[in-house]
Parts: sequence; C-alpha cells; structure tokens
Amino acid sequence: MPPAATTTTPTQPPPFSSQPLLRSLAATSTPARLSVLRAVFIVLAVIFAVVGAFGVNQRAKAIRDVRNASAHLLALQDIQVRIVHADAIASSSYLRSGQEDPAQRTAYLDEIAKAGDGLVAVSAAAGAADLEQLSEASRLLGSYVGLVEQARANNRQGFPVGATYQRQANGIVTNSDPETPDIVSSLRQTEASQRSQINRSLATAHRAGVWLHLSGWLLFVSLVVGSWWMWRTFRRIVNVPIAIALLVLFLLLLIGGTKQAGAVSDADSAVGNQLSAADDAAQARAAAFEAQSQEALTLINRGNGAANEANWQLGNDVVTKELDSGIRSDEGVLTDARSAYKSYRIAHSEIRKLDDGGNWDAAVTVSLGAQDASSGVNAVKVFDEFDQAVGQIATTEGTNASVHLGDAVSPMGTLRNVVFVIGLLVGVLAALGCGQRLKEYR
Amino acid sequence: MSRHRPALLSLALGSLVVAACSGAVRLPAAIEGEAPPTTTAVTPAAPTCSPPEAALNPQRSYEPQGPLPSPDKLPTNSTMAEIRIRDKLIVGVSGDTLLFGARNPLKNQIEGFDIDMLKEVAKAIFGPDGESHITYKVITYADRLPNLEAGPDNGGVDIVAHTMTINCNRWLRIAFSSTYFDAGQRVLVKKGSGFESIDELNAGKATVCAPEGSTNIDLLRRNEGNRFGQLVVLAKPDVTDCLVAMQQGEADGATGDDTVLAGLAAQDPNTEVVGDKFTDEPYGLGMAKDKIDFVQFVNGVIAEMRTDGRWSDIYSKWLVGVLSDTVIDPPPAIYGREVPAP
Repeated sequence: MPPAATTTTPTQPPPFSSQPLLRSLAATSTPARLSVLRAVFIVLAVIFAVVGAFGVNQRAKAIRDVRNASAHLLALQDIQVRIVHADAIASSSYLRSGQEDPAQRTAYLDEIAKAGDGLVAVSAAAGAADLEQLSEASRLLGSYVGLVEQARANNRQGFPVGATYQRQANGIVTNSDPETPDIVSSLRQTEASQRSQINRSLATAHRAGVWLHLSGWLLFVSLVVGSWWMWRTFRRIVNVPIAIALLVLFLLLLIGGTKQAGAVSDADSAVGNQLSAADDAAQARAAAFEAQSQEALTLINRGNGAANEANWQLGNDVVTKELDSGIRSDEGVLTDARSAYKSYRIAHSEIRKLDDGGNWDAAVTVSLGAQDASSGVNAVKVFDEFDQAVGQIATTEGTNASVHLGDAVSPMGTLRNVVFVIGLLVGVLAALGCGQRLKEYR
Repeated sequence: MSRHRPALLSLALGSLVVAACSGAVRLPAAIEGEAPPTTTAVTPAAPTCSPPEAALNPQRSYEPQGPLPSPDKLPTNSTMAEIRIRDKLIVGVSGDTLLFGARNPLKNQIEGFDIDMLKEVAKAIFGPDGESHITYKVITYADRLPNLEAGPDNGGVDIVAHTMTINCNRWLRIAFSSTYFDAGQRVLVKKGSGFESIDELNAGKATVCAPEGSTNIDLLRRNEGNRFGQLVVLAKPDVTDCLVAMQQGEADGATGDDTVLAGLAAQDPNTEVVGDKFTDEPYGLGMAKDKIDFVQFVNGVIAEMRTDGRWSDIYSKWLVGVLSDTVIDPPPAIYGREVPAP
C-alpha cells in the first residue's frame, strides 16, 4: 500500500504561471509532476554534460589555435629577419668588392638557406590564402638570389652595372611601389593574417566560456527551484541526492569556471606580454637590417642614394618607435638595445656627413666598421650589439609565449572530461532524488 | 530558500557576464615607419637663352691669356693660386660612368677619361704630384650645376668633369672650358641582332631604352620628322638600368651618348655600339660662371694637351678599341667668348 497518500499532506501547489503547459502540469497528480521534474533534471544534466564539455573544448581549441598561429607568426618573422639580414650582408659585401669577407659570404648563404627551408616549413602548414603569398615569396627569393649573384659577378670585375643588379635585388626584398611585388610585403601580409587569426581565436576563447556557465547555472537553478517545490510539496528539508548534486555542481562551476577563466587569462597574458614583446622585437630587428641595407645602398649608388637614405629613415623610424614604446621586456636587455642603437644612429649620421661632404672612401670605411667614427663608435660593432640584444628578446619572449600558451591549454582536457562526467553524475543524482519521493507513492 | 535566490541568480548572471563579455587582448598590427617630413625647396626655373644668344656657337669659350704659367708662378690672387694655397682641388665627377668616371673596385679608385683630364689640371696647379691634391666628390647629373654655383667654400666644387654637354642655357649658369670631347647620341644593341642604327631599330618596331629625364629620351619622345615613331620607348631610372633591361630581354637596344654606351658595352661583350651619331654632344669641363681666370687657365691646359700628345694618350688608354679602332684627333678649340666687364 503506497504510504504517500496517507503520510504526506501535499499542500496546494503554488500558482504557476498562466502558461497553458504549466496550467495543465499543475492540474496533474504529484507523482506525475515528479516524473516530469525528473525528466527535466535528466535532460538539463545531459545538456550540461554535452554543452559544458563542448564549451571547455572550444576554449581549449581556441587557445591551441592562438598557440599555433603565434608559432606561425614567429616563424614568418624569423624568415623575414633572415632575408633582410642576408640583404644587408649582400649590400655591405658589395661595398667590399674584391675584398669580400668569407665569413660574411658564409653568413649570407646560411641565412638564405634557412629562409628557404623556413618558407617550405610554413607553407606546409599554411591556408590557401597565405599559401599564395608564401609561394610568391619563395619565387621572389629565387629571383633575389640570382640578382645578387649577378651583382657580385659584375662587381668583382669592376663593372658599375653590378650596382644596378644590387639595387634590383634589394627592390625584390622590399620596395615602396604597391604594384611591384616584394618578399617583405608578401611575408607581412601573411603575418597580418596570423595576427588576425590570433585575435580571432583569442576572442573565440573568451566567448566559449559562456557555454559552461549558461548550461551549468541553468541546471543549478532548475535543481534549486525543483528542490524548493519538493520541499513545499513534501515538507522535507533535505533531499540527499539532490543536495549532493547541487553541491558537486556548485563546486564544479566555481572551480571549473575559475580554472577555465584562468586559462583564458593566461592566454591573454601570453599574447599581450610575451608574444607582443617577441613580435615587436622581431619587427625592430627586421627594420634595423633594412636600414643597414639602405645605408650600404646609399653608398653603392654614389651621389644617387637620396631615395635609399629616405628608406633608411623609414626603417629607423620603426626601430625607434619599437625601442621607445613598443617592446616591453626585460629592462636590462632593452636598455642595452637602446644604447647600442643610439650609438649606431650617431655613426650613421657621421657616415652620411662624410659621404655628403665628398669623402666617400671614409664613409665606406666607417660603414664597414674598418674604422671607428670620429665619436669613437664602431658602426658594425654597435649594430651587432643592438641585434644581439633585440634578438635575445625575440627568442626569449617567443619561447615564453609558447610555453605559457601550452600551460594555459594543458588542464583543459581534464576539465572537459570532468564536466562531462559530473554533468551525467548530477543527472543521476537528481533522478535518484526524485525517485526517492516517487517511491513514497508506491 | 527564497532568501538565497537573488544571491544565486546574481552569481549565475555574474559568471555569465564575466565569461561572455570579458574583452580579449589584441595583438596590434605591425608598426609602419614614417620618413621625416622633407622641405621641398622651390627651384627657380632654369634660365633659357634668347634667340640671338642661342644662334651663337655655344662651344665658344674664353681664350687663354698667354702661355700657361708654371705651378710655382701662378698669378697672385688668381683662382688657381687660391686653390694651391688651399692645397686641394675639389672636383665633381661621376662614379658609375665606366671609361669616363667610375670607381674601380679592385683599386678602390675613381678612374676614366674625365678623371685623367682633371689630373692634368691638378698637375698644372700643384706640379707633378698634382693628382694627390684632388678631392673627389661623386655627384649626380642633376647636381652638376648646383655644385658649381655653390662653390668650394659652400660644399660645392671647383670644377666638374662629368660627361657634360656644352649648351647655351648652361652657359647662363656656369662657364665651360673649350670642348675636350665630341660625343654624340648613338645606340647600343645586342651583337648579332641585325640592328645597325636607330633607323633600323625604328623600322623593326624595336624596344629602345633610355634614362627617364635625359635629353636622350626627350629626343625620342619629341619624334621630330616622325623618325622614331615606330620605336617602343622604355624609360628606366638610369642608363645602367637600360643595360640590365637588355640583358634581361626587356629591351632590344639602349640609346645615350656614345661615351656612356661605350662604358656599357665594355661591361657586356655581347653588346656593341652601332650607327652614326644622330646628335652632337660637345663635352666641356664646367667651372663657376665668375671664375673666368680659371676657365682661361684650364683652356690653356687643354690646348697644351691637344698638341703635346697627352690628350691622345688619354683617348688611347680609355677609348681605342671601344669607340674607335685608332686614336682620333682631339676636337679643336673654339674661343671668342667676350670676357664680361668687371
């Protein structure tokens, strides 16, 4: 004989909303309402398990995308730096003519080889839009190498036409004509696409957090409202399984939510600090090599180098902006970079003064570092010091960004599984809680 | 329970808001460089000769005043004496015109016909070691006249030897020596191309390259008498770009002064200078307009070079086998320009 009818005195259920469905539900018997409530709990719990796990997974995937795009961006910048460095070496070597430094030649070949390998590697992981730009960069790199060799061959025979080939080669690396393709523009377009990808993925990671909270708090509120109704109906303060479900769910939303928010916060920090510093340092380095190349070309194009000096100013402007306010990194290394670059700028001013004053030979000697500037600065030495400092920032911060993004994503797999299992567990506990009351009617 | 509902709802809503609305960090776009603003000086229009002036022979220069003085007996207070006291002759030259003024990377020296002319002027002022007193300033075509107008005390030069054609309009700004070389516009073609002149290139509708802004490309574009109407004219920044355009198959030929084309042909044995001159380009050494004593002195140096064989030696050193098979006669001196009243 079912005890429910005699041992409980269900009170008049509170007036529900005027919705027809709820009115019809209010008109049904208490066991039927309990069965509906149990079904609602189970459905919401399954939704939470699936949607919550999906949300965590989405956030993890988005952070992984940030990490991949960051690695891609840093790889592209490495290629860009290698190519402009190679061009700076080739331009300086041209000034040395027959007295080409074998170590410089080796460094040039090494940079070109590594840039070529890098292009192959990044192309393998590139999307269709980026692939077009990377193919263009590869094609142009081949042309560049050919022109440098022609410049070198002519220069070694004492033919001034070599300077024209060197100028053409530099125009393939970078030029200001939007109609004429160049390697740096192709790479920068691909880099811009990676920056967009990083920003999109980071925004996705932020948005993905809503699924866990939306489905979790909906389930939590449903359990609270259901418990309140059961308390009103059966006058029992505690339904143990549902209370455990509420506690577990609350802890999951609190701890899991915090963990999830921490992951995206770590990703924000990695992008906003380490990756940004590596990005800025790489830009400064590439711009500095472009400037160094233009300094040599100004001297190569004796008397006709005004356009090259204007390009030097462009590169110098980027480096100055980055050093003054762009790069945020270890202050000690940054101070070294600023100090070295300031010295290089002084040496460059003297080189220009010597050349403009008709003392071309002395300008070349100072530019090649064979002789110190009158200020006592060795142009090549201080430039190398600047490059080492900025290169150190780029490498260190790039590695840190990758490590931090990896750390951010690593707990997310476990969290996804926990959300799924606990979602189902809450469903089971809620069903058990409702079942206990239903048993009282049997 | 109802007491806790607002708190729970607040917590839930707060979590949702934090989860959905917290702004992501953004990686900024790459920094673009900006060149400092440049002030463009307003260049006054170049003066032009009146029709009566233009009708006169522009090659007329100032006649030397008697025999050339020895270096240690230069007239007191003359421009030459000032240069000797200064201990250096500042010259404006080309750095990339092979055979006339180009850096030899193996010797790390500027050399060529124009440079040797300047060395003779320096010897006349300083003696046998004159060339060690020369300070070279490599300048562009466009900087030739401004450097003479500025003068050596203002960053300019004493004298320019830079394949510079004597013409009436330039005489209004600077002074020229007597003609030291008779150049003319010709064409450079690939050996075995079958083209032997500018007219054959025109008939073959060939692509001919010339430096943008040069008198050479102006001539093709003016197309007087429709002589060049069939040519495809390719403009390049510099004449050496035209040689590269030919080597890369972009042009069938290049046009310019035969002196300059000879320098290009010397850099590529697969090319040759062909056809007759279709313009006259008499070269003179440029000096400041008011340094007439210096012009007369330099004309005396060139006059001696014409007769004592030094001009022929220089021609033989640089141009025999390139512009001609044997040494040619130097261009005759033309004087008769009146010295302006002080």
